[in-house]
Amino acid sequence: MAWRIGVDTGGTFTDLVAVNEHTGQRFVRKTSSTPDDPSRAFTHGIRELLDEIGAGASDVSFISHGTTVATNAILESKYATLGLIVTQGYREMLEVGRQTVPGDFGDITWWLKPPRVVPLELIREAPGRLDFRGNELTPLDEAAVRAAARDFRDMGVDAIAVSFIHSYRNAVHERRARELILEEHPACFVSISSDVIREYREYERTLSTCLNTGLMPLVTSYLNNLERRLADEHIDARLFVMKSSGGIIRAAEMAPQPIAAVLSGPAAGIVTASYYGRAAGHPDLITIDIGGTSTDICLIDRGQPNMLTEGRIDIYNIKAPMIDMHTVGAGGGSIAWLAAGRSLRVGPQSAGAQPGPVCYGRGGTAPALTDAHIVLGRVSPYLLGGAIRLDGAAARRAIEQHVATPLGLSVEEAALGILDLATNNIAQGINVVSVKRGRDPRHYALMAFGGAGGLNACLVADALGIRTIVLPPAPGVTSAEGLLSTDVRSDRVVTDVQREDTLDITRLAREFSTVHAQVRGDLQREGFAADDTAVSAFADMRYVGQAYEVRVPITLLDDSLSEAAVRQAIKAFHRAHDDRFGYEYEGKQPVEIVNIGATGFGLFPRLKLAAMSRDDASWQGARREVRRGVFRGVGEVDLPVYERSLAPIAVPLDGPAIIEQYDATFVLEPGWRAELDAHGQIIVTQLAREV
Amino acid sequence: MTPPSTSQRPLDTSVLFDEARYLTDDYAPRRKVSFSRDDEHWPRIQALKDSIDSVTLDVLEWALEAAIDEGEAAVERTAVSTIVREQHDYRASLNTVDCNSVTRVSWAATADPIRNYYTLNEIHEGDVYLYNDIHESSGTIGHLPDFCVVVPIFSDGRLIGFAQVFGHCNDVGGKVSGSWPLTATTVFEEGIQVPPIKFYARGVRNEEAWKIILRNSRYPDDLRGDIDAFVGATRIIQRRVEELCRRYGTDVVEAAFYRIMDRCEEIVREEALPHIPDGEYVGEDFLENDGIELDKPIKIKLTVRKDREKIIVDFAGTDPQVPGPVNWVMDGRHYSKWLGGFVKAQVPGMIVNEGLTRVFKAYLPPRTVLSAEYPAAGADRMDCMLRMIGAYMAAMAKATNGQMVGDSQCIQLYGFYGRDKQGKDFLYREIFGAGSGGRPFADGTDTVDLVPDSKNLPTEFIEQRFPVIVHRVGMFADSGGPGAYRGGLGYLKDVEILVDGHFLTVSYRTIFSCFGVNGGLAGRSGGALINPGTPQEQHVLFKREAVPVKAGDVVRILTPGGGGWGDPLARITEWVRMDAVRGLVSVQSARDDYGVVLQAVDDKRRGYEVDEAATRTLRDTLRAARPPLKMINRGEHAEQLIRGGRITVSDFDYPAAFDEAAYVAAAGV
Repeated sequence: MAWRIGVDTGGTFTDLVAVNEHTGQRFVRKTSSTPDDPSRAFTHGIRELLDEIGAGASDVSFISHGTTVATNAILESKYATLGLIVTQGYREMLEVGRQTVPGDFGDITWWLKPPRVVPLELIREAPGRLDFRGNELTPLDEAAVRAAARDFRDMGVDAIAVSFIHSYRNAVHERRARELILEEHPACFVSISSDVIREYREYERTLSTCLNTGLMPLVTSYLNNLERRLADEHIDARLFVMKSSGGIIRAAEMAPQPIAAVLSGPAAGIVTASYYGRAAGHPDLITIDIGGTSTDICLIDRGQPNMLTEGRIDIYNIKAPMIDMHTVGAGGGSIAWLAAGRSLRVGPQSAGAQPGPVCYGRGGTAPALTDAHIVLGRVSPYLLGGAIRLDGAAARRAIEQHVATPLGLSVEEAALGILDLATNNIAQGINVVSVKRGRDPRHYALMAFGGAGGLNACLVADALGIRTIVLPPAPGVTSAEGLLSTDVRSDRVVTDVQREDTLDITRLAREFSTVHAQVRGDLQREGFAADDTAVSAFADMRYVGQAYEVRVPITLLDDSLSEAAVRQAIKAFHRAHDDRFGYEYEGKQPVEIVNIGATGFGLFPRLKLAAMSRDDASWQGARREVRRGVFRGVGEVDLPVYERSLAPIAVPLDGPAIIEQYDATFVLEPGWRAELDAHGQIIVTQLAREV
Repeated sequence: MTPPSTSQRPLDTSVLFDEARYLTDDYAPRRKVSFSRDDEHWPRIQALKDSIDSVTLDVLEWALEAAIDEGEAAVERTAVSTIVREQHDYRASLNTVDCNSVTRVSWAATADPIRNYYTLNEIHEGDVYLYNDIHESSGTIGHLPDFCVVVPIFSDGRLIGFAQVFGHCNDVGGKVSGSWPLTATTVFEEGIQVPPIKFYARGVRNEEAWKIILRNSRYPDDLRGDIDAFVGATRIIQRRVEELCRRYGTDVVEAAFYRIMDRCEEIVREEALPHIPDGEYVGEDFLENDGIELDKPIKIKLTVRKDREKIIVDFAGTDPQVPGPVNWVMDGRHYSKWLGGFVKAQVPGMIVNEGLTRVFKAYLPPRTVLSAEYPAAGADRMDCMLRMIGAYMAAMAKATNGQMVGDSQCIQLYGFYGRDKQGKDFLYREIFGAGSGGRPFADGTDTVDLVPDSKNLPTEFIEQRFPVIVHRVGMFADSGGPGAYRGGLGYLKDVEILVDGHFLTVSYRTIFSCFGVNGGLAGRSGGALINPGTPQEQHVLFKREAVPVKAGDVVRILTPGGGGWGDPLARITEWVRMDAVRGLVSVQSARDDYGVVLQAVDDKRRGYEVDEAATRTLRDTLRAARPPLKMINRGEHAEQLIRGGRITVSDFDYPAAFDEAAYVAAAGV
């Protein structure tokens, strides 16, 4: 029992990483995904990996999984048909939404409202009302709930969401409704809003609850499937799933809250990034995970990513704890086009994996970012050890036809322009998570990963004045790695709006002790002894009058909440507000505490990073070929290409150069210097600019 | 059918409309103040402008837009007034040193009054300018709640432009709480007027002025929070532009400002204008009243003169300035930007900025309700704004032979104020969307707001903060104008107030309706009912600033439905059935307005089935009995006024051009 395995399922590839708990030895594998039944690639990959290691089923102690099952079901509207029961008077809540038209002024004339998650004919009302303090104004009409449940049963609707006004304060009506529904329709999946997220704003909470409910049948059967296949393989390891918050949870606990897994894969990548950043001596990081359609960006301070309580997936604002990631529509498949026939733009439309960029030769005709890279000699025509061959001539023709000729540029100039715009999009995304929050990106190292991260890393760093770049050992499988370097996580939160000048500390302390006990219970159920757990407290606060909160930690001396701790957190809020928005109102405007919560971690023993030694290696020995490449300001040059696995430790290499490996390519731009550190990470620094 | 009148016949495309007549005293200046450049840098910038490579230009254009986004996001996160934060009634922009907008949302305020009040030598790094004075803001701010913050941007030691953020603050004083008086007759009743001042001089705030400004608000904490948020946001934009100057060079960035505006002009001329047939088209719309004289509608009239070079919008025929606060004191340049935003529909992805105003030109006779002069009241100028769009859309419906969206009224405010149980003043005010107009390709949208990213207020937020209970939030069934594509539905919201206080409404289509286009019918008007369905039911029409309400009263807020598009008797019957099952259209309206006969069935999901045979017969009967379909159907109330000679329109008999076969083919059912 020595191997931990991380399996990250993506649209094109399923990535696997196995790490030996004792030696730190690791194996990496990519296998084609099987979108019709992702569990096939899952078990197939594990078998291949175990064969390669020479280990048996009984040597696996732990499997951790990052999945896009929930995300894809949302993106493709493939969740189950569901019914919704709401407070009387709120039947049209999803139709009305927040009355918002996205885009620019005048767009109301052509914008089409996307279909609602639950159509009106599947929504029922139940009388019963609480006030904002949670006091009952009208008792729940149990007969109405039963009648609705029977209606849904008769219609063959087997998933029901319940969302009542002010249930975040008092869940009693919702809990009773769930009991009644299950009495009438025992085979039904039921999800109540107070279980999904205990925060105010009924539309967002209801929408998340509906999506959660619609995902339950699918995710439950998917996870059951995985467990069964593992049993077939005689693998008796604990199975965990990654949540959007960067923590993992037992698969069985995931089934009732699939909404918590919408950013499962990207969150795992960020966990890895913070881990490797600390190892490289760069706990302050900005990460860019560049994939086929988009780039996920995250800012990590002192080894910890920031957390949010809501985020956007497709057209939906999802209320669930998630890592504060910003996504921009710039990836290898992002399409270059001419707005109004003359302004070059890149993305957000993407050729995705299918048909993909023109050079993939799968029928794509619109030039994409990857096509620009290949035209400039930055990407090898052979990827994944020759498994994929790229058509550079077709890429060239597409850029010529769609960009270069209309703009009167050479193909190389056009390709450089496409790179510049994509770089700019990513740099602006980084501004959103850094400058906009009072952080100067120049004080951070840039960690680039994802299939295309290394292709753009130096350009992005140049644009922002970032002087250090870190490339982890396996940039193409970072998410799979992250699955092995995280802890079990539980977040619980409750809304209770209180002003600092009328603080009812007894009530707040009572509420905190409830969430605290819930978190402890969650971890205990996962089998963690009290010594292997850590629980922290936080509060969401704002100035009276504001509508958005800033989350600040509360320092606890023991497991209870004291007034002194809250007062100290309020002080921390003033500083955080000033830090983020450039002003604070200490002593001028009272603070409101909106939510109070607890986060618990069940801690696993840390995996070791193995130190590498490659005494005989040299850059000369790692050189594979020399290509022609084109760089802005330099023109066409000889471009040496090196194999990363043969590269020497602690020997500098100056750009321009390409460093290739099985799962990724790194472009070392002119003016940058790279060297491998003792763990095999590539550390890249900017050379002093010539004056 | 009456043929189109001669004034609306498409012209020979060789004809170019002459602008000379607009440069006489018959018309107000198109721009209130202008600034020419004759500084030492100008020749260099002009020379550089046309040599910037297109990729650098694209990168800079996009980077400037991102800076605006970033500034606006900071406002949303930190501002206090719900109108700013939830309704998104604020805009950021970047101006050149001669006060032209480089960035999108071109109708944002500009820096003109700063240049008008201060010489270039008086403008320094670290300064922050503030104003809300509608008569001293060179036509860039339209009512007093809009406070505008302007920050100069310096690079290489010279002024290269301004960052600007304005937003609608909760209360700036004046005769009523919320500073949206509906009975004011001069600007002095509307609140504090702050002419352009140096709010910060070289980084130091003028604390004395600040005290005076805050003292004039009923909710000074809100006002302080908003203005601080605006200042923070303008500084973000300023820093972004300075960084671009460091990366690309100040001259390049400044030259790009001008090239980006030129490019907008070229795109409008070459890509958007060809979509609109050359010719002359009249459009009209009406405000219900000015808040003072309640039975006197106010007319907005415009004539669109389009040739291959330009669009002129001539407002001759628009009613004169009125006593009530609906006057708008801006200028033709500004209105070009409001209306010109709609050319984007033809050119996806284009950025509309000041360059548009060189091709799309609005001209106004002096002292109309849209070119009002001191000391006109203007708090409620939004009424004019929405009706101006309506008049323009009516003209474009004719220009496009009916291929234009139906009318809508997608912004109105309702609110309650008084003293809560703790004795504290409160103002709960919410902006409501409504149904948008039916379109040549789709139904209008239910309950949406015209302003992008605007949000309504969650019940769970409202009840935490104000002494009310929200009993119902939904849609106003049957309010959408019937059409082949139906108008969107308005809101229906029931609010119970828990203390004695006042109810206020700023609502415009309460007796008039949103007009239908190309055979579509008008939508239902909105309004409010106090204690609906009880013997004490009271119907509240028009806009009202103080209707007394008592603890326990329930107020039903209704917002208007959008106008329909195309013949309702041609609407796909299955769509009528779905609307009925979902409770959006009643069975009776399905029969009377759409000629669709529905039968209830014992199937909980389907609810009704269409009786196709009965429907065909009924539709034939209804068709035979009705008058010809109109291009612009203004609804019952307007038609009564027209017949009674109380208002006049040029298009009462203008026929629809609805093509049923094309509609059915496009519907693809």
